[in-house]
Amino acid sequence: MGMATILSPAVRARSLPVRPDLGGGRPKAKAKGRIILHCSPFVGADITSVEHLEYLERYNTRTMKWFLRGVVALVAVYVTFFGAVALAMLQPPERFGRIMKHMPAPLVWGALPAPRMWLWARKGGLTEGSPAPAFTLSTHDHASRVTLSSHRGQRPVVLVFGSYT
Amino acid sequence: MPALNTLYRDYRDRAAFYMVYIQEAHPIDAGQVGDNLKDDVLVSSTMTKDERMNVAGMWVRNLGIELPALVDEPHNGVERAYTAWPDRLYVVDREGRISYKSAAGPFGFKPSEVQATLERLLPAE
Repeated sequence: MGMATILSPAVRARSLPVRPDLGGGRPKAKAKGRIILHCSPFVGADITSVEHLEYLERYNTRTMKWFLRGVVALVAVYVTFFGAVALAMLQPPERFGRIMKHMPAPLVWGALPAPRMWLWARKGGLTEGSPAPAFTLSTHDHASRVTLSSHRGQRPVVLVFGSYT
Repeated sequence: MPALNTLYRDYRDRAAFYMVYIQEAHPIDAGQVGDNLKDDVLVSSTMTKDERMNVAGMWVRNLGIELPALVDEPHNGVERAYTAWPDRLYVVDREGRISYKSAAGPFGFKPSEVQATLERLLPAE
């Protein structure tokens, strides 16, 4: 069996017999302190020569590099998605609605901490203890207009903001 | 809504209550949700004062709202001043200061917290 067979692809490498006559075998490779095949399909393969080991190491490094690239790409996609949704949440309601029409809702609510982001984005500037902004608004039946300050000094006022949908 | 009606009935003699109709949360032209399709609550964004009055009327009737309802202007001035969208609760004390502000709805919409505030503000009977 020549060197070409020893440096064969993964599947065949697994089934190669140990060939001490070619300088191979796991004990020898271990003795050189060079086995770092943590995440390759070659774990458990019989190392049959120094060249074989070097080949496996090169494969391992390459696999690791692609794995890390994949992780970095995933993190970048997540951060971008997070930022885009957070930015959308900071927009006025009508623009937020238009943006969200183009967002994958299950991903927004499933993959992001969306409720916490929402509470942060819609916190608003008013705090307890600050003066309530004045307003005068019509009742829904046009019957009268109500001014918030008309209750001052008399009764607390409960305001329930909402809409039909 | 039943929780708010109950709260209103229990405290209406000692506190003023207003529903304030603001711009739609899930109109058919932006942010439509499945629950509204199921319940046949299909409403476009309300742009004019008349549209708002119409939809606010439907809102009050169809949800059985007993509280008096006000309608925000089309430029959303009150909604913006209170960061009220899509829904939110406030209690304003007798001096006109904000005594309670809920977290943003729908997650922060908790009528029980309004009741706790009213208990604190109103003298014991």
